[in-house]
Amino acid sequence: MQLNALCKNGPVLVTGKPGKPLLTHTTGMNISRQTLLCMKVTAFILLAFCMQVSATTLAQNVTLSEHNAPLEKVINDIKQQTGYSFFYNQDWLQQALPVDVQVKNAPLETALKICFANQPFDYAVVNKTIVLKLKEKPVSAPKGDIVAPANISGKVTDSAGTPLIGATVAIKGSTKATITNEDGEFNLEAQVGDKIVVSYIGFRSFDFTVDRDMPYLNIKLMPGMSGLKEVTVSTGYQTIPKERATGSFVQIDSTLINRRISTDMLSRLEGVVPGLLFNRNTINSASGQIDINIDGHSTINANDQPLIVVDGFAYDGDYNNINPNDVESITVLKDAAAASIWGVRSGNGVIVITTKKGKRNQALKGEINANVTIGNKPDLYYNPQFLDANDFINLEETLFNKGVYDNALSQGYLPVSPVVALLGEERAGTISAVDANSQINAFRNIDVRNDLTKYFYQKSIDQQYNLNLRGGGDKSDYYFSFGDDHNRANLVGNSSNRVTVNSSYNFYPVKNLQISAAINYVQSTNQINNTVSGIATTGYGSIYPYAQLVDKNGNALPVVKDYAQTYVDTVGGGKYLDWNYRPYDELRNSDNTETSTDNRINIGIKYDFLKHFSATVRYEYEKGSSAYANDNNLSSYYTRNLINGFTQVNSDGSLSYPVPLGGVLQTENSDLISKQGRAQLNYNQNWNNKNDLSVIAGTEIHETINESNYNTVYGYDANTKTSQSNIDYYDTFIGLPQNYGTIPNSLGYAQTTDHYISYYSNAAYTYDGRYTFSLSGRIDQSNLFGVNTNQKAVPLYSTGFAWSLSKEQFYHIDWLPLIKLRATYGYTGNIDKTATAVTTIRQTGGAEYSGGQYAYIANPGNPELRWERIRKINLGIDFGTKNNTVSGSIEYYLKKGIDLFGNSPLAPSTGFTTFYGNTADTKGNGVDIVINTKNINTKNFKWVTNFSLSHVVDVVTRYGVTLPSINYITFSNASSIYPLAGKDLFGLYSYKWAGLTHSTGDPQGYLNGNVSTNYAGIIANTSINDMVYNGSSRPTTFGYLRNTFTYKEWSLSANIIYKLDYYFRKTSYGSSNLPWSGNVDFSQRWQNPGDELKTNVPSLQYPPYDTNRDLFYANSSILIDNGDHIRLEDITLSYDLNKNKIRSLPFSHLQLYSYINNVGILWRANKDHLDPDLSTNTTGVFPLPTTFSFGIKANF
Amino acid sequence: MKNIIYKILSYGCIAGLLLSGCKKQDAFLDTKPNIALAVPSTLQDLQLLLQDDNVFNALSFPALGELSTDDYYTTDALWATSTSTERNSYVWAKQIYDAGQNVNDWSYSYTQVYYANTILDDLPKINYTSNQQSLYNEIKGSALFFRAMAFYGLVDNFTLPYNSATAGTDLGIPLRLSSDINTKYPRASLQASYNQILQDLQTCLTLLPAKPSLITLPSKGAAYGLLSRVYLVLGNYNQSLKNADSCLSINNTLQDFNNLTPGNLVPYPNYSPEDIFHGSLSGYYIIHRTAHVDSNLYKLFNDPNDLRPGVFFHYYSTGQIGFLSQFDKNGNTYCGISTDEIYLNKAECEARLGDLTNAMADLNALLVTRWKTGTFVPYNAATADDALIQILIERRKELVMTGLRWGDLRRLNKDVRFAVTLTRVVNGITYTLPPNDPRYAMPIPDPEIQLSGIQQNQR
Repeated sequence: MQLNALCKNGPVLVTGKPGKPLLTHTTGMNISRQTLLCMKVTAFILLAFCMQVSATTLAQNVTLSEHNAPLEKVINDIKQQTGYSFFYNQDWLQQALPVDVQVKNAPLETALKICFANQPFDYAVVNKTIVLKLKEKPVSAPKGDIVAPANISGKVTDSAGTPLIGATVAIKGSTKATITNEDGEFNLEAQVGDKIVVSYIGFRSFDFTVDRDMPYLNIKLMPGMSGLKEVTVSTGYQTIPKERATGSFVQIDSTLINRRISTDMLSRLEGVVPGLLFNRNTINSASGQIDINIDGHSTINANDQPLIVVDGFAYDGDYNNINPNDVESITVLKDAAAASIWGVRSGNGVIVITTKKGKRNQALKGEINANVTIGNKPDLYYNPQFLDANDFINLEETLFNKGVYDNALSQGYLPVSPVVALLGEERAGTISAVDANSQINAFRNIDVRNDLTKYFYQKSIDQQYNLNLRGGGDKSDYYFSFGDDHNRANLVGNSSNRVTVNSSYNFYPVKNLQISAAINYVQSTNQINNTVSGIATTGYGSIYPYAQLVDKNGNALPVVKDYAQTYVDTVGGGKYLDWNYRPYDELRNSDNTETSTDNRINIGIKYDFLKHFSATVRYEYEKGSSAYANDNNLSSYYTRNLINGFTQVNSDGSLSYPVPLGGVLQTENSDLISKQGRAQLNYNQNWNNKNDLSVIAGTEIHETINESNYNTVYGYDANTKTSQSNIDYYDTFIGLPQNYGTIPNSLGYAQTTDHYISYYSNAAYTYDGRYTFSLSGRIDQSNLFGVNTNQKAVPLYSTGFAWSLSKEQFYHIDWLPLIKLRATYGYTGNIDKTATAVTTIRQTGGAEYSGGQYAYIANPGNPELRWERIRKINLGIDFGTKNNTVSGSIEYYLKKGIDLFGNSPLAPSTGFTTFYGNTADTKGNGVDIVINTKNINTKNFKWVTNFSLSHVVDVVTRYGVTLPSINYITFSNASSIYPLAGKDLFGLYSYKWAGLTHSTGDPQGYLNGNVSTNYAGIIANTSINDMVYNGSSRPTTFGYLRNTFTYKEWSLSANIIYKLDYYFRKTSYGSSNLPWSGNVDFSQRWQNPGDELKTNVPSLQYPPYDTNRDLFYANSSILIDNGDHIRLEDITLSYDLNKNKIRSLPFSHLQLYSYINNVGILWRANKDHLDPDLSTNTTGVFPLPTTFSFGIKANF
Repeated sequence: MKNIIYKILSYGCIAGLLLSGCKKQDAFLDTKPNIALAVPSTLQDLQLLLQDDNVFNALSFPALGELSTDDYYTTDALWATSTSTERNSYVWAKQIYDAGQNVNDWSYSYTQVYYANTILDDLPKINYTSNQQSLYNEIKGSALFFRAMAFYGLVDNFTLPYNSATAGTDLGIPLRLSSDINTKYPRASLQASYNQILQDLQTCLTLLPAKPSLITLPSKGAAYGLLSRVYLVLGNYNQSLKNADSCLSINNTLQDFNNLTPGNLVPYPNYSPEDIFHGSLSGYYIIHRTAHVDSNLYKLFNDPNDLRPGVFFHYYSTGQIGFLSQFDKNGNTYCGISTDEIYLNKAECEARLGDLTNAMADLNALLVTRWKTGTFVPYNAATADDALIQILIERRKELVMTGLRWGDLRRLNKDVRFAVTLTRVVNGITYTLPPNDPRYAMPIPDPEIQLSGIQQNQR
């Protein structure tokens, strides 16, 4: 019978009882693909409404008076009067007949009946949308069939089992049709032999023939070409339905993007992308840069940050210029199949950002977003590297008595702390012991952190305002946005402002032609006037804890910086400029500004031809400029110190100033110019409704030029913008106190140019929605590698296969309606610009003997240079239970870094002892697990949990140069790689610890296997194999747990981030660094025999110091802490108001929201209460303060 | 389906041709990635490479030999704090480096060879105008000179002393004559090594200017001077004399020590007028300012009118005597080519060739500038041998701590009359280095042996 015959052609989509095939999907298409494409945009709105409200009665009344009017006009009238939307294909209106209608205050239903009486359309009203549908041409009933009535009923769902509300169930060739109710159910009277078509926007329609005794039908519809429910992912070159993707894509929608509040875009990705780790404990992070790894670290020396793509082009500018309010969605490309289309820049993953765009045939829509974020002052008392004033002074007294400061005091000008100065005066007899003591004791209760917190830090206040407008007519659409950010940093004097203006236009002058133009303008100004980092006393790297910065009346007080206070007070008999350093004055004198602009112009043409083809040509021009100006005026310490240091006393006692009396202006300007062009051919075809083939091929050209220059001028007057030109940079001056040298002449220029020419292609073929095969390849050529390598360029390619198991005939697991298996294999690439193919020389000045110009060989030529390649095998499962109650994915990957750049030894007779080239390899593997659950899903209350767990290990497999063990032990940290074959890329190493000695509290290690206090011996003789390998210094297991609760209009969401299985080196105190580099550990130190049983902090050592003892202890395994911790990252609470609910609302949608970021650590493995997310290589970093945000978002 | 594929291919090709057909593509991909970097493409570029005195002059020449000489001694305490290379060289240990260690004395010399070869390899590819011919010649000559200078330093330190009977089979050094780092070179014979040095020097004579524009650059004078030194080592006194004469005909300036201030940390504000080519030994702390003048050597300065002890040495309050004028204005140990050495070469050759009169005349011409004005009594010699002995003593005194003593020990040990056994006592242990010991050839650093597979010296 017919049923069996059809079974051979396709999958079972309709089942009666589980396990028994009943009906099959045929190839009928009731709505053409083009229609679907056009409907795509509005479909989303439709669906959103459908989900919420059941079909409403047509309570609206309308008044119409038209004679021979175009249908479109009538539709618009109805739209205006009722607020209902229409849903149809613009093309159909060409077939519409003129309308005659005269109704007054008639029900909408009546009006519609009249208007559509003779039209070639059917209509249906779903919620507040009127859906039009072209009538089928009548087909005569097949002859000879028995005509018998049959009542059919069933339920229409998507492949995940979610009911489709408002799906059309129609008898082919007749006007008889019904629409599914809010449960997706339908009932239709038909006759045996009738062909029934079930259709729904965004899904492939499905038809079957009515048989006798049809059971209750469960009809699953498959997403169509432009599936409205399905997620699309963008590679930057094309947008593909996630259903048909083989690779590892993570899609971040606007809800998730807007969950967090920040000025920049990238930081919003933290804790929402599986496998994406923010390396918070690195130097880059500590200096305010974003440091991300996607699925681990795939290089040793090359760039390790992912490629950022904005609207299809690689983004060369500063990522801080991307306004998150303009971002529609983000796709993260993780594996080779997803990323390899980006070739040599894809090795670290790709972040594809798609900005908001206008929509054709859409009335003007606007959105306003405003928020303010207030952050606490940083907690200066967190810093473990601090010794309180009392301990500090006691140590100073002890060291003074041991003569440590005798040399400095005898020189007279070298900086000594006020306590040492007083002790010196006491000894010299210039001050009585009583006076000295009382002054010193007064210092004991001072804590410099109080003044610092009070005068140098403030609450941060970030304000963000954004407005965007979008819409479109028949022949164009537009998007315009204006953003304004005002950020006050928590450092007094530091602030940043940013203005962004974005606009994009698309024109459709003739059929099949689209012309796009977009302009982005960003201007930002940063004030960097905080001077807290300069307060340290020269030579000590910190300030004494009893420093007072401001007196009771708010006047700035001097502190010891470069020279002894007595020297500063008396030098030059008062003729020199004031040589005091007053930190609080510095803060007020500082004038350090950075302004930058970034302009992008983007134009493109797209032309559709030959039915399945389209061609695009696109071009982007970007120019970013930044200007930095540090005006050290004559009041600033920098300038006074410089002038004084060069001041010459003439024979007649008068002074002359080689550095003129005036300001010192330091400037640096840099420009970025990026040009990218692309020609691409696209081919898309579906045939027999079963085969989808999509191919793109293109070529790309890319140029990036970075230019910078810097300069210093002297005698600068900010009022007249003039400076002095006759500066003697050549002669050596001898000034006070021991200043000997030439006036710094910083003048420089640099320019780098990157050129790329690339060819790429990508093809994907899907059979019946079940099997997808993809192939992608790219060849890059660049000016970095010389012509030889370019000529024998090999493509970075990938291939992938995906199998939608749940769509197979034999698949009948009801509770798990979605199972998709994916497997991909391929290569991505990376680049290291420091090596070149040809021998390059660099010219410089100041030769050792002649002092003149010379050139050195910067890079020995290496014609064998190749791109770094990362081979990645990715296996994934996507799954979803019924109604998506539990959904998610599991991915496992294997990585291999091939031809990575690294050092390897070379026979020195070649002229080089090491060779930098493609000589290192790494391997890695990892797992990303994502589980999303709908724990409670009622109409009013919803509870959703999103969980991810990632585990990644990257190991060096080949590295040519092995360093002495001291290098690995003392330098290994989360910020830099010291590659050692067989160990983690970011391995952490230490000296084996053997406790403290009983009698002296000295730390003990192992020398040749024996417990020893011969520190020099331990350091010299610890072999690579003797080192303690503690593990990775970057988290190897991490993820997030996010719970979102929705109750009516309220939504509450909290995100927890966890990082596990890593280690860090905590700081402790070292005798030879005391008292300046103090540490809280000092109070825990060994003091009496027996203390070694309760502490591991060595005893205090007095001069002569054994610095090797300090070095051993600082790098011993006892100071390695476990970094594991769980952090409550943020909480967001929002309240939504909808015009649907509150008619008086002047906006269609209004949202009030609040947000708390950096809430705090919930659990940490280390007992020292340290935040493992801080870089241990950078001093003066504090845990990120908690911030509170409030905002409002309105749509109109 | 076929049609579709055909279409895709053809459109793809068109798109590809848009760019690839363009001849500008190569130029686009040839653009310099960094404006500060240059591919050496002009004579000026190569000239600038030659002016890299960090490579060719400063701390550039092997000092392992000087570490092993009897010019100096150090105290047990200082010896203990020295590096293992310094400690081991000082006592002529069999192994002198840490295992796997790269040794600057070896690798710096080969860096010079690499630079020289890069210049020599690039020269033929460079277009230049006819009025640049002299610049071209000077560059080529300079590269050859620098290569010869580097090879000589290597031979002097890392091979056994020259013996004409066995030089054809004795191990020399790898004679790298190409900048290609992938080419492997075995150790050439010692004879071939010296032949290469002589050949490079003879060739550069025809190309170099008589006097250099910078004291750190090669010149005809420097090439004659080095030829004189090399022929002296080879025992070819005729040639050594001839080249010494040629050298002095370009520059025979001698510094009158009466015009110098004794005890001056830097005796010459820039360079000594006797300097023909300026270079300095690779840096070792043990032979730097902490080194003490060998007491037997110091005793040889026995004439109170000899101004050299005041200029040459530094007198510590402890009574010990350190070095002074051997350090140049940058504080490095001088080891260049200087007219005083050439005078001494000339005198020695004349004495060895039996020209007693000229030998003593040349020696006295040098010494008179070292004595207090009006006090110098010219030296006399009854026989050529007597002259030779006097000349060698004065050579020992004049050229102290200039890197030449090691070469002199190596060649003079062949002659029983001048052979010496060096002795050192450290921590009560006495170490000796007898004449012609295999330890006169330094071990080649481990990485070289491991990576290029050349033969190690047997010590």
